[in-house]
Amino acid sequence: MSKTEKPNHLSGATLSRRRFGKLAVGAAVGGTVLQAPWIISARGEETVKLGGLFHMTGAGSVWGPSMQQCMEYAINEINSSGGVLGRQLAMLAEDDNTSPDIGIQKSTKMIQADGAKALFGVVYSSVRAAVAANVAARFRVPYFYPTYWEGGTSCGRYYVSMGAVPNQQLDYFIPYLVEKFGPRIYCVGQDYIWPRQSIEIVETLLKKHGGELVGKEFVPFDQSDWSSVIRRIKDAKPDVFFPFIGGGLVDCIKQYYDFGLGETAIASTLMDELFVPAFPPELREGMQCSVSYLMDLDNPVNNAFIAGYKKAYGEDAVVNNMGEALYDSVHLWKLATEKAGSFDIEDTVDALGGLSFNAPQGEISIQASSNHAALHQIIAEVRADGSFEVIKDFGKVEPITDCKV
Amino acid sequence: MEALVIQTLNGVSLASILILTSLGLAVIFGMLGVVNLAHGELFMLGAYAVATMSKLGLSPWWGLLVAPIVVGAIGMLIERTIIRRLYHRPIDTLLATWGVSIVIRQVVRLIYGTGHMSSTSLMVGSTTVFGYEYPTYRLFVILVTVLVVLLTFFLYFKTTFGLKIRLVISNRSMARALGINTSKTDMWAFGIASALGGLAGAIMSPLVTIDPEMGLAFLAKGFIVVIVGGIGSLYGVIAGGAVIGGGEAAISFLLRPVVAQIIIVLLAVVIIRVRPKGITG
Repeated sequence: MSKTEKPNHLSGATLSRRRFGKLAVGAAVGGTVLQAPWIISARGEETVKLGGLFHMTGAGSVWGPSMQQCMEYAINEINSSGGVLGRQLAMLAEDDNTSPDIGIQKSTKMIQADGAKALFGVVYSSVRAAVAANVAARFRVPYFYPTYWEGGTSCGRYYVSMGAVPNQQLDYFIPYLVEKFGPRIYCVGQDYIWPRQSIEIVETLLKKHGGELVGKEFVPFDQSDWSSVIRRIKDAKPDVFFPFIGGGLVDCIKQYYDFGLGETAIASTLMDELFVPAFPPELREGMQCSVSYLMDLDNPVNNAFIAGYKKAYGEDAVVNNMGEALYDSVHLWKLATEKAGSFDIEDTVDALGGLSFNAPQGEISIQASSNHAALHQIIAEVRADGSFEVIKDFGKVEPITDCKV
Repeated sequence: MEALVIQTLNGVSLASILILTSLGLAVIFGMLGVVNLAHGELFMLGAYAVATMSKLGLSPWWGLLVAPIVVGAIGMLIERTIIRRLYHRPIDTLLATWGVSIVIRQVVRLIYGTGHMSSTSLMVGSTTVFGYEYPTYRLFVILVTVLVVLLTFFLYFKTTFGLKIRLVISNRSMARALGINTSKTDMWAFGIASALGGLAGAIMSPLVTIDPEMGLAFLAKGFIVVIVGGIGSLYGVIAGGAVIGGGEAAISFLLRPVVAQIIIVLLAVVIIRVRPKGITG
């Protein structure tokens, strides 16, 4: 379903999230753009509530605001085209302070007190695991997680993985790197499950494609001086340096650049539009990355999405793969609800498996056995100005996971 | 031989970074008796000064100049409005400065947005040391640390201002009786320490992530350095920085970074057990 209508004018900062929840959406009449929203209580129908949990403060606050906008944008878009089963949607938004405890409290409140039909959002694995297990599974409400992750640590009927799991980021990326830069790859990861799982998959893929993992090591979360690690990497003379480091990546690359990269290329699965500005132009230029979505994708759905998004939030507004996944999540929830024909949560969850949606990244679908989304694998190179040059879109890649619904 | 030279330089540069980031903390902690949990945020503001200059299209070197001045002024403002009311309540300073740190982080978010910032590199390339290539900027950090430490020592031990500060610390009422405006000395001491924090942030900005949370990691390390080295002594910072920084670089290289972090914390515990007042205490 390609959206050509512009999103309604309410999608802006003028609307507080609480008020938003109480308002039905007005439409522009006869070309008149109305500044003030008005309340429709027509036929006494209540709005249907969806809960968004975002890192608006705390360590993850780089990601929260754009994710919240993406959800708001999706809901406005759906409302302005008639809502779901004739009912308008209302968005609940809560800040989890990037903390699992607060995440549980706020999402529990959205479900129990406010009656949210589904939960969306979160970047940090710690918050996601807490919400998936203690809220979504406990209260039997679907939870759409829009961020790439290690896979396996959250599972179940009510947990919908909308971000890439390692095989979805690496299956085509590793052979591409081997072919383009050479067989020798060096991996460094923070010492937790996502890097460990990912590096294991890199190693397997390298064996399969004639490459070699010439070194791997793990560092603590707050590693700030990388000189010793860099020294070891340089000693190994890899063709590609492939870090699985979240926040510390900028420090690592800045310091590596200082020591001289030589002929080594840098590859990453977590480069995106929000992360790129952290790197000075000379450092980001030429970085290889594998993601499921980029703003620079050129297809009609994405062009309409970006044009509408920028119209709503300004020319500088940024979406990354997590934001796009959240937008897709809301639409998939809508499709599932429509397929179920009711707002019954169990029916909606039943209807999710096998659904597909023509997303800005291209067609995606939900794997019925696991409720994990099959997503695109796109390889791109970062330009000095911070934009991405899409090198190849490998199309939809099914997730490989042991999760069962 | 190459490994030895490079690793020694890595150790010295890491020690320098730690000394530079802990110096202001040591001054406030040791001399004013204030546990300044907002020191990491002063550090962060210094880095933002450089990023702001980059963004304005100016040379990042201006950031290095602006950072200590602006952050020093912010420090004085914090001292005037909050800290001065709490000198006799050390535990309360903990809470107050923690609050200040949250306010600074959120104000930075309001002004600069929640995203990362980046600055253009101050210096690129490498220099030959004993026949081996080493990043010029890291050598520059070592040099700046030596200069800043010398300057701080000069200020505290060779100037009238330093004499006044030391007098106020050792006997506040006597200092007052002798006609010293202790409130003013406190303000300047806090301001200078803040300026040191800001300068450290500016110097470190090309090497680290610039975001509102960046100060937190340095705060924890800074306290370990100050406590291991010895509270209340400027020499302590140097000793602490050398032990923690040199140790971390060596163990990270010989073993693994995760192991290094464990051993360093254990080492700190052992040192404090054996010498409760720190290495120089």
